[in-house]
Amino acid sequence: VSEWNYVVAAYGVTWIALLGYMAYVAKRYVRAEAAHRAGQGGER
Amino acid sequence: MNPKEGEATMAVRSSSGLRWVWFAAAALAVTATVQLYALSISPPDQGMGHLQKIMYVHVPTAWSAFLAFGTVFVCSALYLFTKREKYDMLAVSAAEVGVILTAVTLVLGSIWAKPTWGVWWTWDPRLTTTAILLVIYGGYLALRSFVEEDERRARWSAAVGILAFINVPIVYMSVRWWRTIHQVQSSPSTVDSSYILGLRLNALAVLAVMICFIVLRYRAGMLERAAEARLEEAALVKGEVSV
Repeated sequence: VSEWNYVVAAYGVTWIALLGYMAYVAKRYVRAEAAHRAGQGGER
Repeated sequence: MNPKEGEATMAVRSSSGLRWVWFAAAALAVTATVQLYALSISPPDQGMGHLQKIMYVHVPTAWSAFLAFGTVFVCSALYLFTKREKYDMLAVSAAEVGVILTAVTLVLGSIWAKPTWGVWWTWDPRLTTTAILLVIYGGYLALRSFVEEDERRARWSAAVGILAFINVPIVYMSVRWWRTIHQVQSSPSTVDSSYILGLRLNALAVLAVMICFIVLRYRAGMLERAAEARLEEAALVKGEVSV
């Protein structure tokens, strides 16, 4: 297996994790802000 | 406005809208840019060849995870002294980000280990103590979901957040305290000069991402608490909840 395959796998894993967490936390933040403004409840 | 909603609202009032979402997106864009820069300027290592390039993600995520757990430690101590919920929320936010970064560090280390050591995993002191670190802070997050009452959850979490930090210096020093196949800590003094700039830039970029993630998670959590408190207050006004 080429060294580059491992390098690509490493960077791929990193970006999946970073973008995945970004999507999760940004979605939660946008929902929370909308809920707060509307005076409705959010998740803990 | 009840006190719980008041502190949560005040904590998030200083900035509104999607500012921190854009900051986080910008930090990720900077990270991608410095990664490409580091990849383009770093020559292959004499021993490891192009595998050395994994260092630009493996080492910064490990460093940032340590800093995130340091934040948990400081905020947990501040919570116990002040009982202010913002410190509890900051601690859990940092723990969550630290767990993500530690998991990434372990996976990257495994990907790096296979072609260099011949195995995906070995019970080496550095790897084992890092895995324990992940389990401890995973337990910290699990503990929070088991305790319903806010103040008790915050108090127990703070105690665990302080005790758990003991493992961070153990992980860091494990490569010097015990016989290990893992290399010593990567730093400008232990890596070749041609890799220093790339390592520093990537460390700063991942640090910026970590800070943005923690703030974003903190603000989301505080807004959720404020919304919950507002909901409880509305229910009390309507007489739906007896006190």
